[in-house]
Amino acid sequence: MRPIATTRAATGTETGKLAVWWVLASEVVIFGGLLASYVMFRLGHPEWADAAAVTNTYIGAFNTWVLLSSSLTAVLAHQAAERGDGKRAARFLYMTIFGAAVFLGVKTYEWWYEISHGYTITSNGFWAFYYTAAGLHAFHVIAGAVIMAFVARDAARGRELHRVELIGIYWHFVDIVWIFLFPLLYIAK
Amino acid sequence: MAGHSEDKGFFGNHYVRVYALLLVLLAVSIVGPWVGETLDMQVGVLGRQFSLGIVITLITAFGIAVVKAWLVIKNFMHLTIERVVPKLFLAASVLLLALFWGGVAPDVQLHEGRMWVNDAARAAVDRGIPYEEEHVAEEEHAAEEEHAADAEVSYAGLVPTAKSNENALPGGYNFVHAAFWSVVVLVAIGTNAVAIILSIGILLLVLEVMSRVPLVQRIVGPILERVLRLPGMGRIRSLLPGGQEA
Repeated sequence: MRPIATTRAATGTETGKLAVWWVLASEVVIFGGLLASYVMFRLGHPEWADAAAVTNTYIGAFNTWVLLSSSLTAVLAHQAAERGDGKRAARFLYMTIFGAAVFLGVKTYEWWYEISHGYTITSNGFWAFYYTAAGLHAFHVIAGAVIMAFVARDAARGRELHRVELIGIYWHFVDIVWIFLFPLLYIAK
Repeated sequence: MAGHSEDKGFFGNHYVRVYALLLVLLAVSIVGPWVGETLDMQVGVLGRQFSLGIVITLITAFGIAVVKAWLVIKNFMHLTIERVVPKLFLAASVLLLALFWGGVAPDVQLHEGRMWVNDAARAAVDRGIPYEEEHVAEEEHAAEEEHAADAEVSYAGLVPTAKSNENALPGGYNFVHAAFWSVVVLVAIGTNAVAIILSIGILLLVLEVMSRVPLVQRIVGPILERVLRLPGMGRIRSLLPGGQEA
Protein backbone atom coordinates (compact mmCIF):
# COMPACT_ATOMS: atom_id res chain seq x y z
CA MET A 1 0.00 0.00 0.00
CA ARG A 2 1.42 3.39 -1.02
CA PRO A 3 0.92 6.47 1.16
CA ILE A 4 -1.94 8.82 0.27
CA ALA A 5 0.60 11.54 -0.55
CA THR A 6 1.71 9.68 -3.68
CA THR A 7 -1.63 8.30 -4.81
CA ARG A 8 -3.98 11.27 -4.65
CA ALA A 9 -3.82 14.59 -6.52
CA ALA A 10 -6.89 16.67 -5.64
CA THR A 11 -5.41 19.81 -7.27
CA GLY A 12 -4.33 18.14 -10.51
CA THR A 13 -0.68 18.39 -9.45
CA GLU A 14 1.07 15.41 -7.84
CA THR A 15 1.01 15.86 -4.07
CA GLY A 16 4.79 15.57 -3.81
CA LYS A 17 5.34 18.28 -6.39
CA LEU A 18 2.69 20.44 -4.76
CA ALA A 19 4.59 20.12 -1.48
CA VAL A 20 7.83 21.24 -3.16
CA TRP A 21 6.09 24.31 -4.61
CA TRP A 22 4.63 24.99 -1.16
CA VAL A 23 8.12 24.89 0.35
CA LEU A 24 9.39 27.21 -2.38
CA ALA A 25 6.53 29.65 -1.76
CA SER A 26 7.69 29.91 1.86
CA GLU A 27 11.29 30.23 0.66
CA VAL A 28 10.25 33.17 -1.54
CA VAL A 29 9.19 35.01 1.61
CA ILE A 30 12.29 33.97 3.56
CA PHE A 31 14.89 34.91 0.94
CA GLY A 32 12.75 37.67 -0.56
CA GLY A 33 12.30 39.31 2.84
CA LEU A 34 16.02 39.09 3.53
CA LEU A 35 17.02 40.49 0.13
CA ALA A 36 14.31 43.19 0.21
CA SER A 37 15.59 44.29 3.64
CA TYR A 38 19.14 44.35 2.29
CA VAL A 39 18.13 46.50 -0.70
CA MET A 40 16.20 48.91 1.53
CA PHE A 41 19.15 49.34 3.90
CA ARG A 42 21.68 49.50 1.06
CA LEU A 43 19.76 52.37 -0.56
CA GLY A 44 19.76 54.23 2.76
CA HIS A 45 23.44 53.57 3.52
CA PRO A 46 25.79 54.70 0.74
CA GLU A 47 28.74 54.04 3.05
CA TRP A 48 28.20 50.28 2.57
CA ALA A 49 29.77 50.67 -0.88
CA ASP A 50 33.22 50.60 0.79
CA ALA A 51 32.45 47.23 2.36
CA ALA A 52 30.88 45.88 -0.85
CA ALA A 53 34.07 46.79 -2.75
CA VAL A 54 35.90 44.10 -0.75
CA THR A 55 33.89 41.17 -2.18
CA ASN A 56 35.53 39.51 -5.19
CA THR A 57 33.36 39.77 -8.33
CA TYR A 58 35.31 37.07 -10.18
CA ILE A 59 34.85 34.54 -7.38
CA GLY A 60 31.14 35.37 -7.28
CA ALA A 61 30.94 34.99 -11.07
CA PHE A 62 32.74 31.64 -10.93
CA ASN A 63 30.26 30.37 -8.34
CA THR A 64 27.37 31.64 -10.49
CA TRP A 65 28.76 29.60 -13.40
CA VAL A 66 29.07 26.56 -11.12
CA LEU A 67 25.43 26.84 -9.97
CA LEU A 68 24.11 27.46 -13.51
CA SER A 69 26.01 24.35 -14.65
CA SER A 70 24.61 22.33 -11.76
CA SER A 71 21.11 23.49 -12.75
CA LEU A 72 21.76 22.17 -16.26
CA THR A 73 22.81 18.75 -14.93
CA ALA A 74 19.75 18.74 -12.61
CA VAL A 75 17.35 19.33 -15.52
CA LEU A 76 19.20 16.76 -17.67
CA ALA A 77 18.70 14.29 -14.80
CA HIS A 78 14.98 15.10 -14.91
CA GLN A 79 14.95 14.53 -18.67
CA ALA A 80 16.66 11.15 -18.24
CA ALA A 81 14.22 10.18 -15.46
CA GLU A 82 11.23 11.01 -17.67
CA ARG A 83 12.66 8.63 -20.28
CA GLY A 84 12.91 5.97 -17.57
CA ASP A 85 16.72 5.93 -17.56
CA GLY A 86 17.40 5.89 -13.80
CA LYS A 87 21.13 5.22 -14.13
CA ARG A 88 21.68 8.22 -16.40
CA ALA A 89 19.52 10.39 -14.11
CA ALA A 90 21.63 9.31 -11.13
CA ARG A 91 24.85 10.17 -13.00
CA PHE A 92 23.56 13.70 -13.69
CA LEU A 93 22.45 14.07 -10.07
CA TYR A 94 25.92 13.07 -8.85
CA MET A 95 27.35 15.73 -11.19
CA THR A 96 24.98 18.25 -9.59
CA ILE A 97 26.21 17.22 -6.14
CA PHE A 98 29.78 17.72 -7.38
CA GLY A 99 28.75 21.25 -8.44
CA ALA A 100 27.37 21.86 -4.94
CA ALA A 101 30.67 20.68 -3.43
CA VAL A 102 32.70 23.00 -5.69
CA PHE A 103 30.39 25.92 -4.82
CA LEU A 104 30.78 25.27 -1.08
CA GLY A 105 34.56 24.84 -1.42
CA VAL A 106 34.89 28.22 -3.15
CA LYS A 107 32.58 29.80 -0.57
CA THR A 108 34.68 28.38 2.26
CA TYR A 109 37.86 29.89 0.76
CA GLU A 110 36.08 33.22 0.26
CA TRP A 111 34.82 33.36 3.83
CA TRP A 112 38.18 32.26 5.22
CA TYR A 113 39.86 35.09 3.29
CA GLU A 114 37.32 37.72 4.40
CA ILE A 115 37.19 36.65 8.04
CA SER A 116 41.01 36.46 8.26
CA HIS A 117 41.13 40.07 7.00
CA GLY A 118 38.80 41.22 9.78
CA TYR A 119 35.49 41.35 7.87
CA THR A 120 33.19 39.44 10.22
CA ILE A 121 29.42 39.30 10.69
CA THR A 122 29.64 42.02 13.36
CA SER A 123 31.83 44.42 11.32
CA ASN A 124 28.92 46.48 9.98
CA GLY A 125 25.45 46.20 8.46
CA PHE A 126 26.74 45.12 5.03
CA TRP A 127 28.77 42.21 6.42
CA ALA A 128 25.88 41.19 8.67
CA PHE A 129 23.64 40.88 5.59
CA TYR A 130 26.43 39.32 3.51
CA TYR A 131 27.09 36.47 5.95
CA THR A 132 23.41 35.95 6.78
CA ALA A 133 22.23 35.81 3.15
CA ALA A 134 25.18 33.82 1.80
CA GLY A 135 25.13 31.54 4.86
CA LEU A 136 21.41 30.82 4.56
CA HIS A 137 21.91 30.12 0.85
CA ALA A 138 24.88 27.81 1.55
CA PHE A 139 22.74 25.95 4.10
CA HIS A 140 20.16 25.37 1.34
CA VAL A 141 22.91 24.13 -0.99
CA ILE A 142 24.05 21.61 1.65
CA ALA A 143 20.47 20.45 2.35
CA GLY A 144 19.76 20.08 -1.39
CA ALA A 145 22.95 18.09 -1.99
CA VAL A 146 22.18 15.68 0.87
CA ILE A 147 18.60 15.08 -0.32
CA MET A 148 19.86 14.71 -3.89
CA ALA A 149 22.26 11.96 -2.78
CA PHE A 150 19.31 9.93 -1.46
CA VAL A 151 17.26 10.56 -4.61
CA ALA A 152 20.24 9.61 -6.83
CA ARG A 153 20.78 6.36 -4.93
CA ASP A 154 17.16 5.38 -5.51
CA ALA A 155 17.20 6.57 -9.13
CA ALA A 156 20.29 4.44 -9.90
CA ARG A 157 18.18 1.41 -8.90
CA GLY A 158 15.27 2.63 -11.03
CA ARG A 159 13.15 3.52 -8.00
CA GLU A 160 11.05 6.66 -7.30
CA LEU A 161 12.13 8.41 -10.50
CA HIS A 162 9.48 11.12 -10.06
CA ARG A 163 11.55 12.47 -7.16
CA VAL A 164 14.30 13.50 -9.60
CA GLU A 165 12.07 16.30 -10.88
CA LEU A 166 11.10 17.34 -7.34
CA ILE A 167 14.68 17.80 -6.11
CA GLY A 168 15.46 19.50 -9.44
CA ILE A 169 12.78 22.15 -8.89
CA TYR A 170 14.22 22.86 -5.44
CA TRP A 171 17.74 23.04 -6.88
CA HIS A 172 16.74 25.53 -9.60
CA PHE A 173 15.23 27.74 -6.89
CA VAL A 174 18.55 27.69 -4.99
CA ASP A 175 20.19 28.71 -8.29
CA ILE A 176 17.72 31.60 -8.75
CA VAL A 177 18.43 32.92 -5.26
CA TRP A 178 22.14 33.03 -6.13
CA ILE A 179 21.36 34.76 -9.45
CA PHE A 180 20.02 37.66 -7.35
CA LEU A 181 22.62 37.45 -4.58
CA PHE A 182 25.45 37.77 -7.10
CA PRO A 183 24.66 41.31 -8.36
CA LEU A 184 23.50 42.46 -4.91
CA LEU A 185 26.59 41.37 -2.98
CA TYR A 186 29.31 41.30 -5.62
CA ILE A 187 28.52 43.68 -8.49
CA ALA A 188 26.81 46.67 -6.82
CA LYS A 189 29.91 48.40 -5.39
CA MET B 1 7.61 17.84 -18.79
CA ALA B 2 11.29 17.54 -19.59
CA GLY B 3 10.64 16.14 -23.05
CA HIS B 4 11.51 19.37 -24.85
CA SER B 5 14.13 17.88 -27.09
CA GLU B 6 14.57 14.79 -29.13
CA ASP B 7 17.94 13.10 -29.51
CA LYS B 8 19.77 15.78 -31.50
CA GLY B 9 23.10 15.39 -29.71
CA PHE B 10 24.38 17.32 -26.71
CA PHE B 11 24.36 20.79 -28.32
CA GLY B 12 20.98 20.19 -29.96
CA ASN B 13 19.43 19.69 -26.53
CA HIS B 14 17.00 22.50 -25.62
CA TYR B 15 18.38 22.72 -22.08
CA VAL B 16 21.96 23.04 -23.27
CA ARG B 17 20.95 25.94 -25.54
CA VAL B 18 19.20 27.67 -22.63
CA TYR B 19 22.35 27.08 -20.52
CA ALA B 20 24.51 28.66 -23.25
CA LEU B 21 22.22 31.71 -23.28
CA LEU B 22 22.49 31.93 -19.47
CA LEU B 23 26.29 31.96 -19.73
CA VAL B 24 26.19 34.76 -22.32
CA LEU B 25 23.94 36.77 -19.99
CA LEU B 26 26.30 36.06 -17.07
CA ALA B 27 29.18 37.47 -19.12
CA VAL B 28 27.15 40.60 -19.96
CA SER B 29 26.22 41.08 -16.28
CA ILE B 30 29.95 41.17 -15.41
CA VAL B 31 31.19 43.25 -18.34
CA GLY B 32 28.28 45.77 -18.21
CA PRO B 33 29.01 47.21 -14.73
CA TRP B 34 32.73 47.15 -15.52
CA VAL B 35 32.09 49.31 -18.62
CA GLY B 36 29.64 51.43 -16.60
CA GLU B 37 32.36 52.29 -14.05
CA THR B 38 34.55 53.77 -16.77
CA LEU B 39 31.85 56.08 -18.17
CA ASP B 40 31.50 59.60 -16.81
CA MET B 41 28.37 60.85 -18.57
CA GLN B 42 24.93 61.98 -17.51
CA VAL B 43 21.67 60.94 -19.15
CA GLY B 44 18.22 62.44 -18.75
CA VAL B 45 15.44 60.00 -17.82
CA LEU B 46 11.92 61.35 -17.24
CA GLY B 47 13.28 64.83 -16.72
CA ARG B 48 15.92 63.79 -14.17
CA GLN B 49 19.68 63.44 -14.65
CA PHE B 50 21.35 60.11 -13.92
CA SER B 51 24.90 58.84 -14.27
CA LEU B 52 25.10 56.73 -17.46
CA GLY B 53 27.41 54.30 -15.65
CA ILE B 54 24.81 53.66 -12.93
CA VAL B 55 22.05 53.19 -15.52
CA ILE B 56 24.19 50.63 -17.39
CA THR B 57 25.07 48.85 -14.13
CA LEU B 58 21.41 48.65 -13.08
CA ILE B 59 20.31 47.28 -16.45
CA THR B 60 23.16 44.81 -16.98
CA ALA B 61 23.43 43.57 -13.38
CA PHE B 62 19.87 43.59 -12.07
CA GLY B 63 17.83 43.64 -15.31
CA ILE B 64 19.77 40.65 -16.61
CA ALA B 65 19.42 38.87 -13.25
CA VAL B 66 15.63 39.04 -13.72
CA VAL B 67 15.96 37.66 -17.28
CA LYS B 68 18.25 34.84 -16.11
CA ALA B 69 15.85 33.95 -13.28
CA TRP B 70 12.93 33.89 -15.74
CA LEU B 71 14.84 31.61 -18.13
CA VAL B 72 15.46 29.16 -15.27
CA ILE B 73 11.84 29.37 -14.03
CA LYS B 74 10.38 28.84 -17.52
CA ASN B 75 12.78 26.31 -19.01
CA PHE B 76 14.23 24.38 -16.07
CA MET B 77 11.41 24.54 -13.50
CA HIS B 78 8.64 24.44 -16.16
CA LEU B 79 6.46 26.73 -14.05
CA THR B 80 4.68 28.21 -17.10
CA ILE B 81 3.19 24.81 -18.00
CA GLU B 82 2.42 23.92 -14.39
CA ARG B 83 -1.16 23.77 -13.03
CA VAL B 84 -2.72 26.83 -11.45
CA VAL B 85 -2.34 25.90 -7.73
CA PRO B 86 1.50 26.15 -7.55
CA LYS B 87 1.29 29.48 -9.39
CA LEU B 88 -1.21 30.72 -6.78
CA PHE B 89 1.14 29.65 -3.95
CA LEU B 90 3.97 31.64 -5.47
CA ALA B 91 1.79 34.64 -6.36
CA ALA B 92 0.58 34.82 -2.73
CA SER B 93 4.17 34.79 -1.48
CA VAL B 94 5.26 37.50 -3.90
CA LEU B 95 2.23 39.60 -2.90
CA LEU B 96 3.11 39.23 0.79
CA LEU B 97 6.65 40.29 -0.06
CA ALA B 98 5.42 43.35 -1.95
CA LEU B 99 3.24 44.32 1.04
CA PHE B 100 6.23 43.92 3.34
CA TRP B 101 8.36 46.12 1.10
CA GLY B 102 5.65 48.74 0.64
CA GLY B 103 5.00 48.95 4.36
CA VAL B 104 8.59 49.00 5.58
CA ALA B 105 10.51 50.80 2.81
CA PRO B 106 9.35 54.34 3.70
CA ASP B 107 10.85 53.89 7.17
CA VAL B 108 14.06 52.11 6.21
CA GLN B 109 15.23 53.50 2.89
CA LEU B 110 14.79 57.12 3.95
CA HIS B 111 16.25 58.68 7.05
CA GLU B 112 13.76 61.48 7.36
CA GLY B 113 10.14 62.06 6.48
CA ARG B 114 7.67 64.89 6.80
CA MET B 115 7.38 64.53 10.57
CA TRP B 116 10.28 62.34 11.65
CA VAL B 117 14.05 61.94 11.56
CA ASN B 118 16.06 58.73 12.06
CA ASP B 119 19.07 60.17 13.89
CA ALA B 120 20.73 56.78 14.46
CA ALA B 121 20.73 55.93 10.73
CA ARG B 122 22.03 59.37 9.80
CA ALA B 123 24.81 59.04 12.36
CA ALA B 124 25.72 55.62 10.92
CA VAL B 125 26.04 57.12 7.44
CA ASP B 126 28.14 59.97 8.82
CA ARG B 127 30.45 57.57 10.65
CA GLY B 128 30.90 55.47 7.51
CA ILE B 129 31.69 58.31 5.10
CA PRO B 130 34.64 60.48 6.21
CA TYR B 131 33.99 64.17 5.59
CA GLU B 132 36.45 66.94 4.85
CA GLU B 133 36.87 69.30 7.82
CA GLU B 134 35.31 72.15 5.88
CA HIS B 135 32.34 69.94 5.05
CA VAL B 136 31.94 69.01 8.72
CA ALA B 137 31.84 72.70 9.69
CA GLU B 138 29.15 73.33 7.05
CA GLU B 139 27.16 70.35 8.30
CA GLU B 140 27.37 71.56 11.90
CA HIS B 141 26.24 75.02 10.88
CA ALA B 142 23.32 73.58 8.89
CA ALA B 143 22.41 71.31 11.83
CA GLU B 144 22.32 74.29 14.18
CA GLU B 145 20.00 76.18 11.85
CA GLU B 146 17.80 73.13 11.48
CA HIS B 147 17.72 72.70 15.25
CA ALA B 148 16.63 76.28 15.69
CA ALA B 149 13.86 75.77 13.14
CA ASP B 150 12.80 72.52 14.86
CA ALA B 151 12.56 74.30 18.20
CA GLU B 152 9.86 76.55 16.81
CA VAL B 153 7.79 73.66 15.46
CA SER B 154 8.70 71.48 18.45
CA TYR B 155 8.83 67.95 17.15
CA ALA B 156 11.67 65.47 17.47
CA GLY B 157 11.53 62.07 15.90
CA LEU B 158 8.19 60.28 15.78
CA VAL B 159 5.99 62.78 17.54
CA PRO B 160 2.60 63.78 16.12
CA THR B 161 2.00 67.45 15.49
CA ALA B 162 -1.07 69.59 15.19
CA LYS B 163 -0.78 69.44 11.40
CA SER B 164 -3.13 66.47 11.18
CA ASN B 165 -3.51 66.66 7.40
CA GLU B 166 0.23 66.13 6.98
CA ASN B 167 0.17 63.16 9.35
CA ALA B 168 -1.95 61.20 6.92
CA LEU B 169 0.42 61.70 3.96
CA PRO B 170 3.29 59.31 3.08
CA GLY B 171 6.05 59.89 5.61
CA GLY B 172 3.61 61.41 8.13
CA TYR B 173 3.09 60.03 11.63
CA ASN B 174 -0.29 58.36 11.07
CA PHE B 175 0.65 57.06 7.62
CA VAL B 176 3.83 55.40 8.86
CA HIS B 177 2.05 53.83 11.82
CA ALA B 178 -0.85 52.60 9.69
CA ALA B 179 1.58 51.02 7.23
CA PHE B 180 3.62 49.48 10.05
CA TRP B 181 0.67 47.94 11.88
CA SER B 182 -0.87 46.69 8.63
CA VAL B 183 2.33 44.77 7.96
CA VAL B 184 2.41 43.46 11.53
CA VAL B 185 -1.19 42.22 11.25
CA LEU B 186 -0.57 40.62 7.85
CA VAL B 187 2.57 38.88 9.07
CA ALA B 188 0.77 37.71 12.21
CA ILE B 189 -2.11 36.27 10.19
CA GLY B 190 0.27 34.75 7.64
CA THR B 191 2.58 33.08 10.14
CA ASN B 192 -0.32 31.73 12.19
CA ALA B 193 -2.04 30.38 9.07
CA VAL B 194 1.16 28.60 8.03
CA ALA B 195 1.59 27.17 11.53
CA ILE B 196 -2.00 25.89 11.60
CA ILE B 197 -1.76 24.36 8.11
CA LEU B 198 1.56 22.68 8.94
CA SER B 199 0.12 21.34 12.21
CA ILE B 200 -2.83 19.81 10.36
CA GLY B 201 -0.43 18.27 7.83
CA ILE B 202 1.76 16.78 10.55
CA LEU B 203 -1.34 15.45 12.36
CA LEU B 204 -2.50 13.75 9.14
CA LEU B 205 0.94 12.22 8.62
CA VAL B 206 0.99 10.93 12.21
CA LEU B 207 -2.49 9.45 11.75
CA GLU B 208 -1.42 7.78 8.51
CA VAL B 209 1.65 6.24 10.13
CA MET B 210 -0.36 5.16 13.17
CA SER B 211 -2.98 3.57 10.95
CA ARG B 212 -0.36 1.09 9.72
CA VAL B 213 0.35 -0.25 13.22
CA PRO B 214 -1.63 -3.54 13.56
CA LEU B 215 -2.60 -2.88 17.20
CA VAL B 216 -4.01 0.55 16.29
CA GLN B 217 -5.82 -0.98 13.30
CA ARG B 218 -7.51 -3.54 15.57
CA ILE B 219 -8.57 -1.00 18.19
CA VAL B 220 -9.29 2.15 16.17
CA GLY B 221 -10.47 0.40 12.98
CA PRO B 222 -13.88 -0.74 14.25
CA ILE B 223 -14.52 2.62 15.96
CA LEU B 224 -13.66 4.50 12.78
CA GLU B 225 -15.89 2.19 10.74
CA ARG B 226 -18.86 3.06 13.00
CA VAL B 227 -18.10 6.78 12.91
CA LEU B 228 -17.92 6.75 9.10
CA ARG B 229 -21.33 5.05 8.89
CA LEU B 230 -22.97 7.91 10.81
CA PRO B 231 -25.35 10.13 8.79
CA GLY B 232 -23.62 13.00 6.99
CA MET B 233 -20.26 11.22 6.78
CA GLY B 234 -20.73 10.19 3.13
CA ARG B 235 -18.57 13.02 1.81
CA ILE B 236 -15.65 12.13 4.11
CA ARG B 237 -16.07 8.41 3.24
CA SER B 238 -15.76 9.23 -0.45
CA LEU B 239 -12.51 11.14 0.17
CA LEU B 240 -10.78 8.15 1.81
CA PRO B 241 -8.80 5.64 -0.31
CA GLY B 242 -11.25 3.09 -1.66
CA GLY B 243 -14.10 5.15 -0.27
CA GLN B 244 -15.89 5.52 -3.59
CA GLU B 245 -16.09 1.78 -4.07
CA ALA B 246 -17.47 1.22 -0.56
